[in-house]
Amino acid sequence: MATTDRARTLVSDVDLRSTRTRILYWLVFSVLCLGAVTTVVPLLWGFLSALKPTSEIFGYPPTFLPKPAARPWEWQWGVYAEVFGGSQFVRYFWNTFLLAVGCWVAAIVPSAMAGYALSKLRTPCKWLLLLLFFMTLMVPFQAYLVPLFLTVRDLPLVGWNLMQVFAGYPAIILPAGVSAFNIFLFKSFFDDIPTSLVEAARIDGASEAGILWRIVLPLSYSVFAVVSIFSFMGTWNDFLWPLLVINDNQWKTIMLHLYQYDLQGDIGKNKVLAALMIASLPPLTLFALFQKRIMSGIAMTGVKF
Amino acid sequence: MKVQTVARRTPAGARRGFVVPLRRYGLGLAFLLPALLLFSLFSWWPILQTFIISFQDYSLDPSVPSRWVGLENFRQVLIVDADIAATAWFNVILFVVLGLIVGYFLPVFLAIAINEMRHGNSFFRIAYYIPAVLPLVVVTIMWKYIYTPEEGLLDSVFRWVGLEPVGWLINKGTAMLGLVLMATWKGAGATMIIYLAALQSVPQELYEAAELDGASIRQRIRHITLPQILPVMLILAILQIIGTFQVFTEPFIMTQGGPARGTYTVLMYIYDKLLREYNYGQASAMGLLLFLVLVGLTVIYSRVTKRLGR
Repeated sequence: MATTDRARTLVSDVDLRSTRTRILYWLVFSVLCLGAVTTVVPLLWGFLSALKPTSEIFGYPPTFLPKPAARPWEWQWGVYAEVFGGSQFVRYFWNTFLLAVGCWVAAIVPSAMAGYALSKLRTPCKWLLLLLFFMTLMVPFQAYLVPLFLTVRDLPLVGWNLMQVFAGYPAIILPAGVSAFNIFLFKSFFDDIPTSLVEAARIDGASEAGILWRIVLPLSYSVFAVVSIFSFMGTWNDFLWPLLVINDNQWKTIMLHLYQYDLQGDIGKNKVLAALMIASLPPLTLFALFQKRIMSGIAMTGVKF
Repeated sequence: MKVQTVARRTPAGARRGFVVPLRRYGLGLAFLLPALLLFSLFSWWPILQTFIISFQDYSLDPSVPSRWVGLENFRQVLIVDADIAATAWFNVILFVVLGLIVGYFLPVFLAIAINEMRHGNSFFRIAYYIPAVLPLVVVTIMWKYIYTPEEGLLDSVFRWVGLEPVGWLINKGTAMLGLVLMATWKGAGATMIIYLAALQSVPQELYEAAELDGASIRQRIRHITLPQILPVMLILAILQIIGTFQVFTEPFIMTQGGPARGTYTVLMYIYDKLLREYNYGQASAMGLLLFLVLVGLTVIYSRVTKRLGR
C-alpha cells in the first residue's frame, strides 16, 4: 500500500501492519477529510450562493444547492456574466493588473540589482549597507504607516504629491520596491552561484552586463519566479494601502471595489458573491499553474503572502 | 568566503582619494542606487520621521510650520483617549491570545498528520492551502455573510440541527472569536506548508533508531518530531503574534470594529486618527507605540532564530 520512494517518516510501514496503528491511521485520515470539507465548503457555498436569490442565501433552512428542484443548467448562471460585464468591473480588473505589473517591476528590478551588487560586485561599507537593509526587516510597514502616508503626500526635496499623480498609483508602486526581504532573497541566491564562474567569464572578457545577462540571470529563474508570484499576489490582495492612497473611483483596485460593492445596500448579495468569486480567479489560476513553486517558495522563505 | 575578503579590503581602497574608489566601486554603487533611493524615501526616512512627527502638531500646510508639542500626542492617545486606546490594545492582545489558542497547534497537527498520509497526501496539502490563496477581502466578505445573525449559513445550520443561533458578529462575546476562527481558517494552510517543509528535515535515522528501541508513535512525536520542529514552532509563534498586532482588514470590513468597539484594533485607531480626524501627530504617536511593540517582538524573534542557529 505504500510507495517505495516515500521517505521514511514518523510512522513506518512496519508500524502500519498492526491493526491498532491501522485504525489510528484511518481515523486521522477521516479527521483530515472532515477538515478538508470545512476548508472547501465555504468556498463552494460562496460559488453556489451567487446563483441564488438573496432571500435564499440568507434563509432558513439553509440550502447548499440553488433551488434544489431545478437542474444545474437552469440555475441563474447569468449572474456571473452580469457582474463581470456590469458597470466598471472589467475596468477595476485591468486597474489592478496594471498596478500589479508596476509593483512587479518595482519589486524585481531594484532588489535584484541590489542583491547582485551585495553578492558579486565590490561595494564600499558592505556591512553597513547590509545592516541598514536588515534593520528595515524589523519594522513592518504598518508601524510607519502615518509617516509613509505623509511622505507620499509630500515627497522630500521635490515636494511632489504622489497621490495626485496618475490616481495615486506611484504611491503604491514606488514603495512596493522597498523590500529588504527580496534583496536578501536575491543576494542569498546569487551567493550560491559560484564566484569562480563569474570570474572566469570576466577573465574571458565578458562585460559586467554580459555576465549578469548571460550567466547569472539564466541560473536564477526560480528566485525571480518566486518573487514575481508573491509580488503579484501581494498587489492583487492588498487592501489597506490602496484604501489610503487611491482617491479616484475610476482607478480603484478590485479589492477596493469589492469592499464598496458589499456596502451598497441595494445590490443583491448574490451579485456580491459572484464578484468575490470572479476576483479570486486570478490568484486561484496562478496557484493552479504554479502550485509546486508557490508551496516550495513558502517553505523556502517562510513567508505567506 | 570571497565576500569577506572584498569587505575587508574596503577601507584601504577608500583612503586613496576619489578616482580609484569610483573605478573600484562605481558599478556596485550604480547597481545599489535604485534600492538606496527607494529605501531612503519610503523606508528609512518614514521610519525616522515616526520619531519626529509623534512629538509634533503636524501641519500639512508648508507655510505653517509643524509645532513641537513634546509628549502631548502621547498624552492624547494614552490618557485623553484612554478608554478607546485601551480597548484597541486589549482587543489586539485578545486577538493574539485567542488566535494562539484556536489556531496555533492546528497547523502543527495538520502537518504531522498529512506527512504520514499514504493516501491523498497532495490532495490534503492543496485543500488546506486553498483558503490562503483567496484574497483576504474576499474571505472576509464571504465570512461576513456566513456569520450573518439568524439567517447566515452558520446560524441557519445551528438552528437546523436544533442549536440556538449564535449571532456571531452582533455579540461582544463572540465577535472576536468569529474573527479568530476566520483568520485561522484562512491562515492555517500556509503555516502548515512551512511545518511540512520543516518535517522533511527531521533525520530519518532518529525515527529508525527510536522504532528499533520500541518507542511508540506517541513517544516518537513527543521526543523526536516536536523537539526537531520546535525552532520553527517558536519562530512561527512570534511571527503570528507580530502579524496579529497589525490586524486591520478583517475587523474593518467585517465588523467596523463593533459591536461596541469589541473588535476595534490599534491599526483601526490609527486609521481613524489619520483619515477621519486628520490628526497626524496623534496617529503617528500611536504608530510609534505599535512600532515599539513590534520591534520588541522582532528582537525576541531574531534572538530566538540566532540561538536556534537558523
